[in-house]
Amino acid sequence: MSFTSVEIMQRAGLYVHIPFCTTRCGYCHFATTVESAHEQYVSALLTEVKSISSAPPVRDLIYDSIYFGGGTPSLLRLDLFERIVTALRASFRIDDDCEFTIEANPERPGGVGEHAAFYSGLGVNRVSIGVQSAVPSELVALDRRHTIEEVEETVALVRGQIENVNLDFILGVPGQDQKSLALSLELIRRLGTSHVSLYILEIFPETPISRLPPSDDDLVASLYQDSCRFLANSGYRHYEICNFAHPGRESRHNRKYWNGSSYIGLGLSAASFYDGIRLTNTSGFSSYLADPSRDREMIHMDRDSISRELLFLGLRTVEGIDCSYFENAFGYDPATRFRKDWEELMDLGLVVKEDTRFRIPEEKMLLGNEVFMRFL
Amino acid sequence: MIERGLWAPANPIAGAEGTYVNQDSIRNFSIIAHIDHGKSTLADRFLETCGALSQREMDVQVLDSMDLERERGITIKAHFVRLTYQHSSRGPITFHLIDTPGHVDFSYEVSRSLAACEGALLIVDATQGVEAQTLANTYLALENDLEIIPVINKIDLPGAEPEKVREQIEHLLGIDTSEILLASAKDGTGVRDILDRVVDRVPPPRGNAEAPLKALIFDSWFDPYRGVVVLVRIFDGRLAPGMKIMMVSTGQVYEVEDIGVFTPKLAKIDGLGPGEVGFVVANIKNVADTKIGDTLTDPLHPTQTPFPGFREAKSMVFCGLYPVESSEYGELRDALDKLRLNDSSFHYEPENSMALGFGFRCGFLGLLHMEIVQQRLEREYEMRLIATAPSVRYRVTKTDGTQFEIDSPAKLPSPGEIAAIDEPFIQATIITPDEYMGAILQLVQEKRGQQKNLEYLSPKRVMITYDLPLNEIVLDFYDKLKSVSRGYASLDYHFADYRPSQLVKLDILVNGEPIDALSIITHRDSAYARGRALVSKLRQMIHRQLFEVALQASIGSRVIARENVKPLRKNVLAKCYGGDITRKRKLLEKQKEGKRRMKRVGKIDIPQEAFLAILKVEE
Ligand SMILES: Nc1nc2c(ncn2[C@@H]2O[C@H](COP(=O)(O)OP(=O)(O)O)[C@@H](O)[C@H]2O)c(=O)[nH]1
Ligand code: SF4
Repeated sequence: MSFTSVEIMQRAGLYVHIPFCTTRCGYCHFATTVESAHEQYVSALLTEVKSISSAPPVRDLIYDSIYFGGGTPSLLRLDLFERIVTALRASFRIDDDCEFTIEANPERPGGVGEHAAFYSGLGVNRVSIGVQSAVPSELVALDRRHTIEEVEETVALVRGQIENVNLDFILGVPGQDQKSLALSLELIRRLGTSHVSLYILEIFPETPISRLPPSDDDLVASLYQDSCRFLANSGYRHYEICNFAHPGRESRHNRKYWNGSSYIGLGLSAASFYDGIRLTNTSGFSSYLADPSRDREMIHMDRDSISRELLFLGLRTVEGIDCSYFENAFGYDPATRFRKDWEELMDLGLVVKEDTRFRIPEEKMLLGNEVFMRFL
Repeated sequence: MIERGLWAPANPIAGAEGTYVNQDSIRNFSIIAHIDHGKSTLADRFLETCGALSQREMDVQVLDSMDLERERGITIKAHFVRLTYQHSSRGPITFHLIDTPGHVDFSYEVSRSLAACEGALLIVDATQGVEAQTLANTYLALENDLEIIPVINKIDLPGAEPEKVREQIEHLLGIDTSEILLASAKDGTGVRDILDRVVDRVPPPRGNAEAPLKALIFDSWFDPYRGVVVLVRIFDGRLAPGMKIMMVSTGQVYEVEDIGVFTPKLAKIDGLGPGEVGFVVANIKNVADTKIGDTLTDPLHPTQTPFPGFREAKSMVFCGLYPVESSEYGELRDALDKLRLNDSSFHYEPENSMALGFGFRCGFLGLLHMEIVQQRLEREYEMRLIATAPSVRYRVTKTDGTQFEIDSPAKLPSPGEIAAIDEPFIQATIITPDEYMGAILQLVQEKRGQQKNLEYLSPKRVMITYDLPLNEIVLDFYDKLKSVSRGYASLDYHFADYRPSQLVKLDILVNGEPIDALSIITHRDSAYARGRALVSKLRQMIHRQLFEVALQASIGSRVIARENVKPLRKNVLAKCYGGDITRKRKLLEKQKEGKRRMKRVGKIDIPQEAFLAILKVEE
């Protein structure tokens, strides 16, 4: 079943999960390990590449984004990294114009800065660096091991080779306030990278950070509004709840998650979505090593749940959703089908309507769940 | 429920094979005991001593065991059991052991069960002492002229203080301490002595087998297969299948289909004679037609001396019950109808709340009864309910001289129209170890109590008697009493009278709109404190909404307390990429479900518990 003509025309994305970190951050809930079984992991990964890439329709898709996330992909031994890239290129139809991102931590020496030329040589053209904060006490709270100097040096070294750089920051770090936020924002302005992500700290039970007093929601909300204003003034366009970019530098790969494009996830805990199927790999490291397809979760979604999921994912973006797209792709007009919800949401100021589009205005984006849950 | 299949082979038991039991060899008695003082354990010993059950069956406590009932496919609501005891000199004796409901709300039912007996065992835990309800039930037994046999149980425990307990029993009941038996239901000590004492002291039932039928209904319940099952004690005459019977109160006539006893196995028998106890099935459709306390007689030869008659169950406590989902109103009504088939002592009538929509005003015998009904609606009928705070029935005199009763704050006229309000008072008896006396006295003072009596039952055990307004009891008195006495105080109460009081209606406004379901009637002197406490509790209970919410308490048009619930500013799952979507979806679904469980009043989602906030405030 190919479920819409619209998506097939869109290019697909490839995600590769590299689950290695030097130490585990205090807030981390990702599938990651401090083991260094790099070789075994890569060989399991290559097995997965082989089996998945030959299956229709995966093999027929054209891919115009590759994203190495983690964990810390830049920790992977370079020869192993190269092996993966080679395998991807051999197994998938990758567009010449491909956005190729790798996530990295700003640790030096021996980090992404030093190896930027190598990565660039393999086609990497975007680097996403986990900075999180410019304030030493906040880095301690987050259990991050790098310094501000390392951040500045890494960014400079990377940009010598790869111009398109994203910095990740976190809002709602215990102890963060307007003053400390200003220091992080100042660093962003000084570095002036093309992309910035601002994530709101989500506290997971049992993580070390859950023992610290959590930030007040009202404070986080005003930090968020301050940041949006600051970033707008610094030339960034706010294009998704947590993402800001210089015009034209929005992440092509990440957009695929919100607009219904297909993506193939490879590696531990990675998720794929194509042909109405959502696949999620095991997050058990040893299970994955033994057999990448073990405990893989497979959910067949019907067209209606897909369309409703696309409604709430689309509403994460600044453009919101276009009702005419849904008419074409799914045969119904969300404006009529959810009329009562839209009216209530507009009454509350949570969404605005422009022509055939509905979107959440920037100042209400932090209340997104109140909108999203209507479409489940 | 009694399953048809279980009826076939009647278990042969003493005197039940088509003959009637010899009246002189019958002893009818119940056990009066506070919860956990050992009633069930002792009853098990009796069954064992009388050889009523096999060892395997003894492994479960019989009188209290729901499992056993389930296994047999019968549900025995009020228990009674017929046992045969081999007395050393008198030969076989037939005991009818009748269980009594253990709670203050059901004192009328207790009194009717006692009326079916000639004797009662008073069981007191040697480590605890006499408790308030035990005392109240013992007085009921004395009113019914029952022979009381006091037993101090658990004497095997190291903490047992039988001497002190003896002293309390003597003090309260004037029973000579040498009459008091000592026992351990656990190891069996004294069990035969108790049964021998029952045989010696409890008089055999009197009654004339040739006189017109006269039987007391002391319990009944609805069985889906057989209709209503009635427990009766025969006083005069005889009852057999095929006979026509009449309820004295209604004049309704039925034909007896089956008669039986529990041994504790269910056994069909051919007839019941004077002094005997058994159940009757007579194709009765509605429990409301079988009133506890009513007399069963022969329609052709009715007895000339029926019992004084049943007492109409009088509701003491009221609350509103509403479906969370307004569309489930019809289901709630059906559930209440069905429940009432089984419990004719609660009442309901449709009520319309501006905040909650259509629901029912329900009346109960007391707080526990209210809780039982609510739980059954939720568990057996899977209703999602909103209950409003419990209220009592007030007597209002208007300035134009008219008088009427109200059971809901919403029905109180405006202050200008009210000349006087009377509220129900109860007399409460509290028995407690004396170390908690100070705290308890303070509590009853706060609750506007008036002291009637205070006496020491033994050097460290006190009995406090107070008159208290029932409306204070229904709010949170039990919980408070429990906490100030660490659970050691016991409480019993009965209705006393109506007294004039300075009462006002306290309204709660949400964004300026009064929420009728949150109104309470309270004493003027405590209105301010209550209003403040209630509003502050509500502020904690009402989740932040998408706009600011003002909560106010007011008396008439005067606002006496205000708090704001700040608007919600953050509710978003920030990071959302491929691998996150499934998990985020689950989180959103959970949030949505949480919202669904709240009641939407105007535009505001109010959690169910908020309607009971008044019960949770700390003043
Ligand atoms: N040590 C001891 N424990 C007893 C005795 N009688 C009952 N118990 C225990 O006291 C608890 C309450 O007894 P139970 O018969 O359920 O009380 P009921 O609530 O009055 O029916 C149970 O744990 C019994 O095992 C006794 O004579 N001695
Ligand atoms: S770098 Fe990222 S994946 Fe690694 S431990 Fe820290 S938060 Fe977790």
